[in-house]
Amino acid sequence: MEPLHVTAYVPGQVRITAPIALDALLGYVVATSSGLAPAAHEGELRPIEIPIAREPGGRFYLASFSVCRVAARELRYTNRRFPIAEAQMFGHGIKRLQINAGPSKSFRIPHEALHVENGRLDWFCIGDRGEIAELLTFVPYLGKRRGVGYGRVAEWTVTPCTAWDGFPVMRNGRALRNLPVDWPGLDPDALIVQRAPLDMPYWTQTRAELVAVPEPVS
Amino acid sequence: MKTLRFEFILRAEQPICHLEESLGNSGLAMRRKVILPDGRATRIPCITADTMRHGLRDAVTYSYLDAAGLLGQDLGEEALRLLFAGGMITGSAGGSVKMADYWQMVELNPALALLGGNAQNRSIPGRLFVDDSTLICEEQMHVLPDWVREWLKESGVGVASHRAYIEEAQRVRMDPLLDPAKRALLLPDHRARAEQRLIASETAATDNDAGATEQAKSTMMPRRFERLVQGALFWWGVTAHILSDLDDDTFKVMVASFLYDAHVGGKRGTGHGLLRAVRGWNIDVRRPAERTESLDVRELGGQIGAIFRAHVSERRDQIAEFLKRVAA
Repeated sequence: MEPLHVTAYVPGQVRITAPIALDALLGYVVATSSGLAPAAHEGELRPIEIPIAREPGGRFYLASFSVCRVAARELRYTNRRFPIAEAQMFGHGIKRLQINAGPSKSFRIPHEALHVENGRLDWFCIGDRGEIAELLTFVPYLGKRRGVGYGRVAEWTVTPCTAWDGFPVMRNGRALRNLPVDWPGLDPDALIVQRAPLDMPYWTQTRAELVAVPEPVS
Repeated sequence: MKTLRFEFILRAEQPICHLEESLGNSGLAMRRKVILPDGRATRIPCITADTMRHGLRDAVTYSYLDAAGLLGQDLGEEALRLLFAGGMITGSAGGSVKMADYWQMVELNPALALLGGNAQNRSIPGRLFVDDSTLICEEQMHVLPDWVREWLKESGVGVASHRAYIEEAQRVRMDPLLDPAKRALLLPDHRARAEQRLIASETAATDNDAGATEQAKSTMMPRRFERLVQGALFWWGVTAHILSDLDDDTFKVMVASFLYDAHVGGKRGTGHGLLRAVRGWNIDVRRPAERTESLDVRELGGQIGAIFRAHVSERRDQIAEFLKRVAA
């Protein structure tokens, strides 16, 4: 285990509303490659081990969330239409289709796509370089709506780096990941406190507690 | 698990009419913001990944129905929604999530495991990542992979600014009542009414009466639209996490059946939208030392599909039953 700097080169648009957790990315790869069915609630979760060191108390992994700045934004839309042409071919039993309400409703939802500065997102962690690099080859896209091309990663790099005071979870008194609010060294004037899980998976709101969170993506 | 990626150079064999929105009677081509090497941002035409992904879903669904012997048989609204539009969370299974249902669903429809979708009260995450089709133009040379740039050089293909690949076309919906030969086909009272309207229109124009002109005008409608020109080239990639031989074969069936007759965008009935793969590249991400292999796109369809077809064909009765009762 050594201090590492992880970089994803994302040349195109990406959809992120909050920083991305490195431990969650690696956990996703381990879960997917183990053939685990996607968990829909907390009861379906299974323990997952990733090649990153845990903090001495064992509460979370020593890995930051992504660090990036936004270079440009664009409003884009997601459209969905009921397959009416196919219904005309195969749906002789369908008497009536309602496309302005209900499950077959067509929609056009606006969303914001971002370009990150210099086309890169950075993470810091203490972990096994080779194993992390191996797992990250299974992360070809980042953020939301990966299935339709947002957040394509052109290249991952994992390089040893020099640790600083508070590495890798804090820099200049600011949290780089979800941290307990009493984590030593956090600057009280720069503290952003929210209810969120301390450890992955971060979508399980039943595990949420008051934590210091990193700065939002801006 | 392995991650498999195919990349292609696609050529527009017909103009591509893929619109973002319309202003009045003018349709604007779909564009996305791109950061240029000097840091400036500009909007460049593209074919969205949603369109390409829908093409893949459509193509593999027809292959699936064909293999199951269900092509031509009636489907319900829910089955249509699941197969052709990815389904909808319906909550019909109540508060509990049935893992057995999930496994059965992806067992009976292997493409669903890759594409993802929604059925019962579960959202099924996909393992397929589809890129926008990137227009090969001067402004986007810096985002193209090396093999595309090399192919352009070897093939002697020149590249111009993105503006060169967009043209504006005009079409007119004619009013058949303006044609005396067609008016002759009308019932006598309808013909009289049509001729009265023509006279009223001429009179209003002579009198310079805007209100009367509006009331008596014909239904002829000119409209303009931007389209990507025939011959434009695109770089497109599609990636999947592969867990089994069946996944691998399903993925290849999906890509091959889509590219066999890939149509995108609108106005397909009037000579728009045909794309052909002119060069393919197969990337196995797990073998970085031998990262890329060229791919004969013409032979892709012939080499694959046996595992997918056998898997689906063996389960045809269960699939028919599943599609009848699925809530999606």
